[in-house]
Amino acid sequence: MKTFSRTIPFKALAATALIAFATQAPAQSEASDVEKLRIAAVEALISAPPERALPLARKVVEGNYSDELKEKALFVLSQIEDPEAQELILATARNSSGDLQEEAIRMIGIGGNPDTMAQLRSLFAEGDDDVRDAVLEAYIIADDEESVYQLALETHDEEAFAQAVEALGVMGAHDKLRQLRDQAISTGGEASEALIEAYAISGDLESLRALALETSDPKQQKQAIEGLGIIGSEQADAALVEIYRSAANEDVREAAIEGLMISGNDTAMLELYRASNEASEKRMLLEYLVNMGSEEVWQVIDQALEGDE
Amino acid sequence: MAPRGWIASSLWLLCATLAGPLAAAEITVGDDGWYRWDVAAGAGGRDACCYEFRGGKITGAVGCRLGHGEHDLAATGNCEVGSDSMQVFVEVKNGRVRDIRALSSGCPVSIAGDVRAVDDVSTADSIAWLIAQVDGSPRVAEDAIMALSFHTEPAAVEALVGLVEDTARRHDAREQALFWLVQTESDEAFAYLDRLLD
Repeated sequence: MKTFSRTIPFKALAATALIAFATQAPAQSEASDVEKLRIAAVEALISAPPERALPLARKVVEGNYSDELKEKALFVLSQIEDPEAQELILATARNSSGDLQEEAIRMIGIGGNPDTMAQLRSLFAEGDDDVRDAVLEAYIIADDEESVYQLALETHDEEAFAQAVEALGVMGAHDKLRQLRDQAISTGGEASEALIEAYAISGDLESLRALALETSDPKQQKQAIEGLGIIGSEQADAALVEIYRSAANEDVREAAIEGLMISGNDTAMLELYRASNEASEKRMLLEYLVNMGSEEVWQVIDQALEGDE
Repeated sequence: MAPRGWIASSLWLLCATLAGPLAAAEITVGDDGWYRWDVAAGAGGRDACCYEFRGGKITGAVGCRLGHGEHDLAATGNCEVGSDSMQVFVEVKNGRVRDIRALSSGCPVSIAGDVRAVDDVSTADSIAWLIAQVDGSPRVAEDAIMALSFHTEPAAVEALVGLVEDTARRHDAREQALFWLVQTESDEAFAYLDRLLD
């Protein structure tokens, strides 16, 4: 392992703390002088010993203070490895509402305490869309794929399932997403729209290519093809060109072109244009190139003006 | 738990040294160059030094070189810096205070050029002079507030609280004073924070 070695002046170390301190200072222009000082005081607690910081953070979280101040105190608590601190954050996550509740949930993710994290499952099951999003964000912050997978498995709410699956996509959890698809198929279902979207978000080329070539469900096939465009990689674009060239029907061909447009690959589209001998197809591809605002399209126009095309 | 405790555990030790003598000659810095005085150190000042940093961790103090631009480079090998006193360095350039450093008296320091000694400086004088520098440029103000916090309690805490409560001062200076107040880890500092939240 490469070792980094240099001399850090004491002042630089202190300045690091000050910079972190200063970066959290904005958006306070409306606050009163006392409120500003309170915010600065609570922010400064982050570098205080836990036994010093905890009573003051508790005072803020449980007291009659602004949400902004309470959110700062929650962050301080999230950095304290003490059951009391975790309990305070959890109580706020359970008993408050709105932005403060969501912030408390996110702080549980930042703290990453496994016991507290486990309590988020009931909040996900009972909460509204915003609470569920906050819970999923907490799991994303904590990089806890397994818990999100379990949430997706356990929920009977279609919207909640879609949210969990999207989170797995954001986490790049290919294996978990494939397991969910296998699970759906084993119970007589199919890969849902949410799953296909998550494959695209996570960049799972293999799963999307398989679905893009599966002709039994045209709607699903179309979504998978367009998902390849969302991936936008060289391999995904190559798959789209291949699908376009071997398309058995116009819908598949159109989906492949849509995919290339989503990917923004005008070079591949221009190649298809040049390779085509059908006037209607060339016109369609040219329209796409124009709609993409492609610079490449000017090559075509210039050549047409010169009578080469 | 990266943010919490690394500064505190590595750089600040708990201590409760009383303030120095009540009366001393007023500090006067005039001509360009470096000045230095000794004063009793509080928790922050006892082991203030330049530290070697490896793999994200402080591995030892190595001493400081001052007057070499923004970067203080290593002077010599590892050393023990803990001391009940600290040395305050001040650089004057073009007739203005440009740099203030408070380092443990046990911290080896090398400076290019001569250093003028300021003798018989009391904690009260040192603090009063540093408070006056808070009106200077933001950078000098920052240096001065940090140096203030390295003095012995309760004098350092009282000075920092005075800055926090001085509504005529720039707000950033007051917030920095509050930050360094917390770093003193003194009972008085946390009692003050408790009152601030009432």
